[in-house]
Amino acid sequence: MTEPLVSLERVGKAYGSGTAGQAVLEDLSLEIAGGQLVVVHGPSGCGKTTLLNLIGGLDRVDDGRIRSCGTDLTHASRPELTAYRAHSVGFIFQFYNLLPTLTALENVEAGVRVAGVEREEARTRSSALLERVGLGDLAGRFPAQLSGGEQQRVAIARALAKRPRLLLADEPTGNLDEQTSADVLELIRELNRETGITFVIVSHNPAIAETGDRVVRLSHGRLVESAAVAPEPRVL
Amino acid sequence: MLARKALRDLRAMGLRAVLIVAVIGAGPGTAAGIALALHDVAQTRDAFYARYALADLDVRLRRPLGEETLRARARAVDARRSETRLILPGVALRGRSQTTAELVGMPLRAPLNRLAITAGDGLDGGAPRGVVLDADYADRFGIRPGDRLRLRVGDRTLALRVRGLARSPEYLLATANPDYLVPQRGSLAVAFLPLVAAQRLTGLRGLANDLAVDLPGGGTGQRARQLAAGLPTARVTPRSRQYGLRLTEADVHSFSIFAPVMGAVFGIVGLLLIALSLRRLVSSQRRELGALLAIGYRPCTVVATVLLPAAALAVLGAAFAVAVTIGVGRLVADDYSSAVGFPATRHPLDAGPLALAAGLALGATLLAALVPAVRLARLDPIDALRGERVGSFELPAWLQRITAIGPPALTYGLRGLLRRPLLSAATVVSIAGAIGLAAALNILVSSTNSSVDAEFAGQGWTHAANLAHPLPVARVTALARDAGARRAEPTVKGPAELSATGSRTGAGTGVQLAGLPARPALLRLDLTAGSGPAPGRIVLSAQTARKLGVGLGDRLALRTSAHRATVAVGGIARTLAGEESYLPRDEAARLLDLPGQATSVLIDARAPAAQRLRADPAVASVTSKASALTAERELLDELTRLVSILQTISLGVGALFLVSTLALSYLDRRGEFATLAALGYGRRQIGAAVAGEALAQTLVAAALSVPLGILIASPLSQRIAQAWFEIGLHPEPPSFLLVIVPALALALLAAAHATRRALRLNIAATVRGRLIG
Repeated sequence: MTEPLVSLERVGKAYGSGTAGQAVLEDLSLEIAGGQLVVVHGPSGCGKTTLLNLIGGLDRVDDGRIRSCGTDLTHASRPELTAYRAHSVGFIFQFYNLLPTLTALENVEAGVRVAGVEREEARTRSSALLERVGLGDLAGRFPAQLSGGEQQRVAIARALAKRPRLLLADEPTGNLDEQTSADVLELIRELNRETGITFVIVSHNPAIAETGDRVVRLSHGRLVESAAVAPEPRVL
Repeated sequence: MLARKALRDLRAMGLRAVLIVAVIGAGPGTAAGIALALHDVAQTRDAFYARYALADLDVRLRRPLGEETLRARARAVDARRSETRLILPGVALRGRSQTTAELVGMPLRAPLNRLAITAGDGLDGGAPRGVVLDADYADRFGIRPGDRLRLRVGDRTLALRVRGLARSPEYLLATANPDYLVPQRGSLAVAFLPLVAAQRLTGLRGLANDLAVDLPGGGTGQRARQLAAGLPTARVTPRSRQYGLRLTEADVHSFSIFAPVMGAVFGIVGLLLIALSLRRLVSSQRRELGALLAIGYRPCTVVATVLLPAAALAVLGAAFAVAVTIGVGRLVADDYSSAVGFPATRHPLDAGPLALAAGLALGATLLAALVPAVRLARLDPIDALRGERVGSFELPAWLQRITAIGPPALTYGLRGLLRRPLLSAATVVSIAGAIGLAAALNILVSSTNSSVDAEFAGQGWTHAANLAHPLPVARVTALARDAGARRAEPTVKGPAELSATGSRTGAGTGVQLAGLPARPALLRLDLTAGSGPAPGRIVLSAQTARKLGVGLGDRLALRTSAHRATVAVGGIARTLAGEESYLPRDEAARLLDLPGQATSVLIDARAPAAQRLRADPAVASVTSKASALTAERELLDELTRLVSILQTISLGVGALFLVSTLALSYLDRRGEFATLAALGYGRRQIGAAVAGEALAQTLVAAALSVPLGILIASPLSQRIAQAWFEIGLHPEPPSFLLVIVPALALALLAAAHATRRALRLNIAATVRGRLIG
């Protein structure tokens, strides 16, 4: 049997301590296979983002065990988590989180070079990706000179450029209008197909849930459903 | 409500509030501390002189006269107090070492120039061989009360026992060669004996050669001239020209400019830091403040929300400034007083410097708070409710290329500086000010060093000998040749007074008139204008020319105890012997009533020859150029210690500023650092970004500090020239490197601190913040 790319075993996470502590995730077990586009869906405060942070190595579990891309994140040291983020995972954030003093091209390069890719190769790869996301002409622009949708495309290019095994997106369309959201989701879908990279998208938008291969529904920190989505038709 | 908000804001500022208070306190506190120290030093000196009765005037004779003759002189000029003494040159013998000495026979109950006993006992008429020694000489040779001492005076060697050690107002910083204003501590063994015992031991019963007096109107003027007139004077020293007083006056005068310079630099640094911090406070609370305005709070109430924390910081800063003032004042005053040798330092708390420190701290803080307060008063509630404005960022292509040379983290760090030009410029200016100030101090020390070195290196003599009494020039030359000197240059010296003719006040200045041979080969005057001494044409030191306000060709009235003459200024020389003025030897000897005679001799000789010369009863003292240089080094070492204190404070303030601005910059970019961490950037890369930023600012500041340091050092060197000696300005790379290297190290430390904070960020929480509008 093929080992899943991500596996969570009875994961628990709480914020605060003692009696004031509030459980965000409880006894959550989940496996994600390589190449899938998984949408984590649920209402606000159900623990979606916490789950994403734990898988991305941005936060640590309180209980249970978590493995991702061959790394045991449960007991990884800080440098090991840094290396995991640098080589194995790409992030797309709701507010894009581009570095404002770097151009679009430099932002994408910043995501590649941290993985140890040489300058020339990083430049070639970043330019190609910006072309792919339709921003070849805007490579020299700074983030403040780009629209929200353009910025999110740069962020997607940045996340993909290092060629991660896993790409995590936290409400990637949460800050975009309807049409731009549709364009961005279409792009994500295409890239998932083209690259075979596993995408985990967190969203509270039910429409987005329909775009994934699989939907994981959370409620009050617990997994309530994990089901494959019918392949046709895709409605956004 | 406002008070609670102010408290909350201060708590939120955390470390920055502490840093602001530290900068507000350290800057004005240091400046005022120096002012307080100078005040303490002047008070200490004056109290010491008052308590131990430094005489208004001291007249030293070339040969002893009857005590009664001298007393009659004092009575004739209505002296308030007087004492006659017998002061003879000699040599102190300790093992193999021989030190130029003065035997001072003084009254047991001296009305003037009393001794401050620092160890053992004072003089006792019942112990005629019981000597009290100058503490500096005793310290240098480890002599304690009870030890024995041999003193050669003329052809007699006196066996004495040390009763005690003392400091004397007259012999403070006793030095073997008082012509040079570079004290050679311990180079003169001053041995005090009861007058009667000194007269008996030297066979000069009833005779004295020194008259110290307190005169109505002080030690200058008509009475003083009348007292010395017709006497065979070797030296006339009014209180104002007394060696220790001149030296401390020169130091106080030179250092007094440091206070305003430091105050200005630190004031600007503090002002910038507070302005930037409060600006940040207002920016980060735009939405909150907008909400207050929207729900009906009046603008003045909202402005008070900024002014209140600023006032709290100002009060804390002022309190800290007062504490720093007292601390720095005591530290510097104690250090200086101990270096000079005052038995105790006085610390009367002068309200002036304390008020200055508190006023500067309060003023700078409130002034800095005005800018954000005015902005706040003009705030549009609707605009403010939208929250903090995020400015766009663009760069010209060339600057993009330059900043993109390194890895992305470094590019990010460097562009961070260009993104906040005001904060970056303020940081650079402040660090440049701190480095420039510290470098200026180094420039002054090294310039003094090289000027003194150059002064001595240009001289052909190796030793200078003062004769016990005037001798014919030919005899002096023979004396030196017989001792083994390669070359000898007899000179004649004596007291004179110079005044500019046409001066309405007739105010003049006392000088040591020195007569040089026609073509001096050993004493080489470093002429800055004109030519060497010629008949009727005198060469003045730059200090004397400045004091008299005269230049080349001006005419001067010259007066000695025996003659008057009119001379023209023929040259101006840069010299450490600032009291000396030069005429041809024959002319000077005639004016000093010593025709054909010499009172001292410069020689070019090896040490044994100098030793033989010192053994001659006709020679009072022999000092070497090498020992003068050593003394200069020791003096500069002491100065350097003081300078180091000021430099440490200066660099500390610079470092505080850098830490604060990095903290401000970090606060603005927490989300970005979290993003970098989320992308997989670790300690090394984030450290490189922060360190690149800190180092870039420090390097630009270092480059700026070079002209700034010279700019600051320039007026300071002029002040030193006025007080002491023309030192010129020799800015050399080490003066800057000695400050820049520690500054870079401090920048790295500050960067390490900011990096640590960035790495401790809760990435998950911070990364969700909105970064770009």
